[in-house]
Amino acid sequence: MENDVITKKTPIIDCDIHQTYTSHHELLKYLDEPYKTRVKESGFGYPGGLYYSVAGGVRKDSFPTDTEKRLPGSSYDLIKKQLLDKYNIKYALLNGGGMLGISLMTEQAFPSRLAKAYNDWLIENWLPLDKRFLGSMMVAAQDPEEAAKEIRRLGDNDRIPQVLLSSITSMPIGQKFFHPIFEAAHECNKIIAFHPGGNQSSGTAPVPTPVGFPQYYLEWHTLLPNAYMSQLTSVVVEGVFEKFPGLKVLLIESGISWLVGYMWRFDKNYKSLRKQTPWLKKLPSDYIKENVFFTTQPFEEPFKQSDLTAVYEMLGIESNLLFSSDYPHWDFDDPYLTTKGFSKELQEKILFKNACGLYQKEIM
Amino acid sequence: MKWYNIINFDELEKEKIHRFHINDKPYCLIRLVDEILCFMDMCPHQKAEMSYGKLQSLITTNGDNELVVSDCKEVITCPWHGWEFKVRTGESVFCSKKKYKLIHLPTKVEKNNIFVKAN
Repeated sequence: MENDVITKKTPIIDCDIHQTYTSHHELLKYLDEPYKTRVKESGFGYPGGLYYSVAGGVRKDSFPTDTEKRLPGSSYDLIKKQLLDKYNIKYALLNGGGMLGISLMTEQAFPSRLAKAYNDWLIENWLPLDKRFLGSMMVAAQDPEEAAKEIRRLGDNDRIPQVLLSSITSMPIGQKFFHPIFEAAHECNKIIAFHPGGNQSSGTAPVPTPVGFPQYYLEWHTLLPNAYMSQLTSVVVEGVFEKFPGLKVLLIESGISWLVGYMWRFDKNYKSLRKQTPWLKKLPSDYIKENVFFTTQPFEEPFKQSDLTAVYEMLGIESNLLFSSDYPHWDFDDPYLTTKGFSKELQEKILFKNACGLYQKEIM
Repeated sequence: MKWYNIINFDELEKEKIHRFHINDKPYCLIRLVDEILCFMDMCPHQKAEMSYGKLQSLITTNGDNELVVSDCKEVITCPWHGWEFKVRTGESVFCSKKKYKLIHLPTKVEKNNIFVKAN
């Protein structure tokens, strides 16, 4: 039986952790004028959260106490203690905290400079701290040409394997306007990852749901997959994976179970409606299985764990599912409990093997 | 199981979480009005340490979507996912099933000392 379960020696790749600066002043040295003075005097100015969470935004035990850095995610020592060492993490993807809202600002030039400053701050201040850290670069999606330049600027940096975008954009992300981003990522072998950020209805974002504004965070958080369904449909239908066949897309915090009915419906519609989008050569679900990856957190928790196993069998995306903890956010997931109940083979795929494949990493 | 002397009754502040260990296992001790309650320092959901959580009032509704806040802090909220548990029974606010309960330990007060029964 011992060989049928994972142990605490099982390696883990965590695809979503949120390190942060303590103050926006940390980025000043990476900005030129006039942006430096602007940030110094007025902060970043990107749109923030719209909804109030009664559970708070972060784990209550994640506030550093032994350092001048007081924000959760700002202390390397605490990240090391509570996450990296505790769970035998071999690689952790640093996805920053809050910066995704830059893609929902009305301006183009300033957000692009902020993205570049963030990336330089990340490279200089976080990646050297621990060889287990990998980083996601930020870009401002509303300026695809500048975003593409930034992707190419960091193209050779193998500690930054992916580009992070907000799951919310001012229009569907698959449309031609955004293709320079996909083109550069494809050329540089970078993954395009989406993460909730810059809340819906903030800045240039559309309203949070097709029926308007829900009242509560409970509703907003439950409905996060709405945005991913819209973006995934757009990327597939607009032919992004035909144009850039090697491109890999990662949906972070999207949830997974909704994919079952979604892919059935998508394939069925394609069979009848294909002639309007003849550049598609395969079933939508085939593109998704070949090009799209998903992280686990916040993991769905049915009353019967076996229901989840059944869903995974239906999905057929065993090789596309990657563990993520979302540390230090309030809905953090423990890697062992997340995968409990699955076969050892599937647990190992979720915890590290699938991520090793996606990020082209080996674990000794 | 045996009784362990944990703390003097007067030293235990009302409605504050007192964390202590017996044989290296962490527990939470709470004085709610004059009741003494003890449970393992572990959320049944993902094993977060409840001692980092908050004691809060129970929020209910009067039936017209208006919020009613209880007078005493009878609920402990998990520091990670915000699950709420009734301190007196250990039951979660959303479900009474055993798998969602905090694990309580017996307590008693003798000669102003608080005892907890544990392994």
